[in-house]
Amino acid sequence: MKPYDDKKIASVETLKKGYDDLGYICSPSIATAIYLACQLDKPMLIEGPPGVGKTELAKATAAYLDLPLIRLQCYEGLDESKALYEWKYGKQLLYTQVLKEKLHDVLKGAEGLSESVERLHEFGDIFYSEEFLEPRPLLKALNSENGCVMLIDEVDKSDQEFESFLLEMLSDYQISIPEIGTVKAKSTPIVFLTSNNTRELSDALKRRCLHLYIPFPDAALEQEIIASRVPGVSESLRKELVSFIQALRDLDLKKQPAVSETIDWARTLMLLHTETLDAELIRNTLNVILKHEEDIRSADDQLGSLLGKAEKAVR
Amino acid sequence: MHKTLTEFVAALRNSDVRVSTSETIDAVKVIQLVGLEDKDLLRDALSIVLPKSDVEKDSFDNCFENFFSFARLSEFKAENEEDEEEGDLFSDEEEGSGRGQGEGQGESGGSGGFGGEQESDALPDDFTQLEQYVKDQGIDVQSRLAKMLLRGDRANLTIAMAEAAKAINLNKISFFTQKGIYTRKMMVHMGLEELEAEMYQLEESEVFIERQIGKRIRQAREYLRVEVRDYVERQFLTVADAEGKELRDEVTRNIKLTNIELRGFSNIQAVVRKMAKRLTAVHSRRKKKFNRGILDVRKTIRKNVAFDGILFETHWKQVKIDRPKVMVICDVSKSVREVARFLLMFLYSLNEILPNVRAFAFSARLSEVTDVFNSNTLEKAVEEILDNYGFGSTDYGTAFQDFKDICYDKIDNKTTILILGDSRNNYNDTKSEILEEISKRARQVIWLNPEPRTHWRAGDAEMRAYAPYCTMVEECNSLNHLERVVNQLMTRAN
Repeated sequence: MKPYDDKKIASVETLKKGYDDLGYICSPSIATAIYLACQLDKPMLIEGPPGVGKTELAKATAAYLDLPLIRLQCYEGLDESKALYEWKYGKQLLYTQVLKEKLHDVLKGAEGLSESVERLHEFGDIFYSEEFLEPRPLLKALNSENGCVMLIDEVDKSDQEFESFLLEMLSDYQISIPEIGTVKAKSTPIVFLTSNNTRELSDALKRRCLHLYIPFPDAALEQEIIASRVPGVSESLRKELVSFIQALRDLDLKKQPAVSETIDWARTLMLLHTETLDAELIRNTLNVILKHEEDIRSADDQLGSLLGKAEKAVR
Repeated sequence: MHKTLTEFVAALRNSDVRVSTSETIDAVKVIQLVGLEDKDLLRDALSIVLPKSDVEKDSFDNCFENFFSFARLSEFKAENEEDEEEGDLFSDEEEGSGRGQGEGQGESGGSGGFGGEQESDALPDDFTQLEQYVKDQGIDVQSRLAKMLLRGDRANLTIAMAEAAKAINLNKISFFTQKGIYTRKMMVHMGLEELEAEMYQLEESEVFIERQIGKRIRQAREYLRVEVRDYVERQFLTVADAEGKELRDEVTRNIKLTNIELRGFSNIQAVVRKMAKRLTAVHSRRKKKFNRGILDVRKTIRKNVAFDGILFETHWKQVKIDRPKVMVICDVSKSVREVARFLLMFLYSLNEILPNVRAFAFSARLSEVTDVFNSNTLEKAVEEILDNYGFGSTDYGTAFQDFKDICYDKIDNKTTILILGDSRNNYNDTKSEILEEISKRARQVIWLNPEPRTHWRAGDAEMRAYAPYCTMVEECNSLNHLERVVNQLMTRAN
């Protein structure tokens, strides 16, 4: 039983339509991937250059399926006490104090050491039990009754050990806590992992996941995205700026402008009441799309030809 | 379906896409979900389950296009529906030989055939009928193959193909240039010659209907050619390419380094990279807990429960990752010019993987080349270093002196010093005492010599002087040697 409406994931087209309505324009391959992830109950690893909407896809999915989003941001040194669970040490200490005071009642009437010990065993031990467990994102996701979207962001930033630790969660949706036992998911969460490929992920992890590579969008798709995100931009300007960005990506840059930067730029141009691009304007707003001084300089050098390409697209 | 899918997976593996069994099972599920009607959808869907990196995705796309040409996809469908009726054989054919047939065509039971493409065609469309019709006309098609084709007998045709493949040892195919020959051989074995003889005879005939049938046979022959070529292609993808690859790998590993050329780099690079990666993996997993760092709350509490929970004995945790410091000194002088390229290449790959590699190159004077590696592609870096430092006459003494001057104080007990060179010193002063000094400071000094051991003391080679100060001295002139060295290095590192 799925915690969300089955009709919403009935086919690739329905999914695509639904995401479009939410303002997330997805290519057929993205829609197919989501469809499969929902149907096969498998986690999905999303890779691609920064800023193409990997994290956004998880958010959109949560919004579309009306599920809570639980997010785990990975970084070097992340361990299970931050990702999975932690004991409530303070309360555990208090518990031992309380226990000490109760000890007398428990052992009252016991004769000899062996009987005392026996009594002690009969007395329920909750020092290591769920009551003293502080859930962290992964455990929260497993414990959520009505399903959720679990986003493990930038998994490539975490250590190799953490990656292996995730394997159990990814293949069986369960996690072993040594003191308590295995915690199984109450309902299968939809899991997304994103990676910027700063290091190669292990084969074991990849094997357990579906794999979606989101490249920079092509011109048509990017125009659609802009139309949906920045509706105020006129069609001709939209065409112009998208083909400018597309031409810019062909240059040898340190960091290529991503979709999020295109959107920012479109917004900027709208604020400036731009109708058509010109060299001066681009030069002044180049810092919105390019984030490195050298990139700005090399783009500036080729502004003429880039602008030429953009104008050609409109005509 | 399963057979075609496993073949596809085998072909994928040959084009370097790693596919595990569980992924193949996923693929089966995916196909059940998305169906086979929409080729783009199928490709998108499979590309999410099978390939797991963007490089693999590219290979996957190529492979998919090659493998599922239209004819194959409909065969895939046919297998899937377990519908092996005759009709779809010929609907395939028309697609294969590029004769558009219009709509109304499908594999819905044996009613395919050649519809309206020839106006003057008086023959019935249905193939079961056609055979009967041909008989009725008193024309006896002799050739077994032609009969099969006219009947559209897919099952027997497949069997015949398999038999022919066996007879001509198709599984011995190992080079793509052989595809043409094998295709021809297979067709001949299946009875192509008889079929052609009959075809020509019929085409020459006075009787209109016989000419028509001759034409049919010609079309059928085209169909057969496409089928057989596909069959051979598939065999090649599944059998030969794998062997070809293994063969290439094998050769690459044993080839003398002196014979390696620049164009083979990508292959070698892969092998070297694998080795270097293994080396780093071991290094970076060395962790230790120290008596300072963050308080390990869990451990502390657990240990102190015995003391009424009073934090009596503290436990600290600090994860320390041992990153090996490696300094590599590479001889690029005249005497080693053939291997210098390779040594630099290994150095470059090592540099890509290990964070703390400092690279030095020398003929007589030694300079640091770390920056050259960091800012250039492999080919460029190697060229640049060889241009700037290479091919002079060797002087190890001066080089060691320079090395000491540059970074003596940076050498500590975690540093591994790797020397790549033949120790041919042109009878200059060896200054082995410098190496001794360096060696005392460093964790280990490893000398890799591209010359065979027997030459180490001949002529101006000075291994005898240097060897006592090295932790390890190895002959290293093929990738296999190198791998052995790396292995030993690893066991030593632990």
